[in-house]
Amino acid sequence: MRDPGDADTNRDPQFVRRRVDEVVLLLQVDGELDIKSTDSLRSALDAAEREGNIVRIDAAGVSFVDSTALGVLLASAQRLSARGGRLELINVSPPVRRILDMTLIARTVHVIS
Amino acid sequence: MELQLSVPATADNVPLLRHAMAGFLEGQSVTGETAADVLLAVTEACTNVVQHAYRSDPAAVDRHIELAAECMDSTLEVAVRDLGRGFAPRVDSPGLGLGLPVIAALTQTVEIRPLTPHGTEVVMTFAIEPG
Repeated sequence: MRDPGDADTNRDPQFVRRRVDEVVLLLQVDGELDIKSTDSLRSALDAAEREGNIVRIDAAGVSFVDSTALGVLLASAQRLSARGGRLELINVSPPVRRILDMTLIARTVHVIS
Repeated sequence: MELQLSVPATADNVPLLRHAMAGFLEGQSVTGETAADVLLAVTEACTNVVQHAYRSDPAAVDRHIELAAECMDSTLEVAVRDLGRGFAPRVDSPGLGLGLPVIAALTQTVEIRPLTPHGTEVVMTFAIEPG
């Protein structure tokens, strides 16, 4: 049985920003996004929004997303949309896709298969 | 096989409870989409406790989340309990208010019961095919 205190499973998510071009900022995210990581996700998105009008999240390394994290993503998408930009999600795993579909958040966040 | 845990109701402990639940599910050979649904529902219920259960009683000494799970044939029953004063409406809620609707969508049944003398219990059941 996995140890609930295991350092590997409890690690904080990692965020790496990379400029793609003048408008697109790629934010690579690894880890689990929930109430524990809300502040770090919000900070990472704030920084990304300052650098690009289109923030593209590479979610290949995201293993879990809950509704708290969705709230942070939605707020970012709305801020970007208000200035003519958008938030994109790419490389979304099936479990993450499931909660995105369930909550209809894909109407606001551009999920790219 | 049963799981019983009680931890302080903090944000840091929500993933800890989810990982404990993951370990329990692994031991029961519950995998794939079913396991993902259980872990999301448990996380939403625990997050509700952290965000709401003790807000109206900040002096509460025993600010804990209790997680209990038990497999019975083809049903998994999971209970998330707090010892707070109930879920009061919160106009400044940090979430989207999607916790309970998400739980309802993921579970076979869900019941929210008051506990005596105080507290709330969210009891969720899931259909499983144990290995």
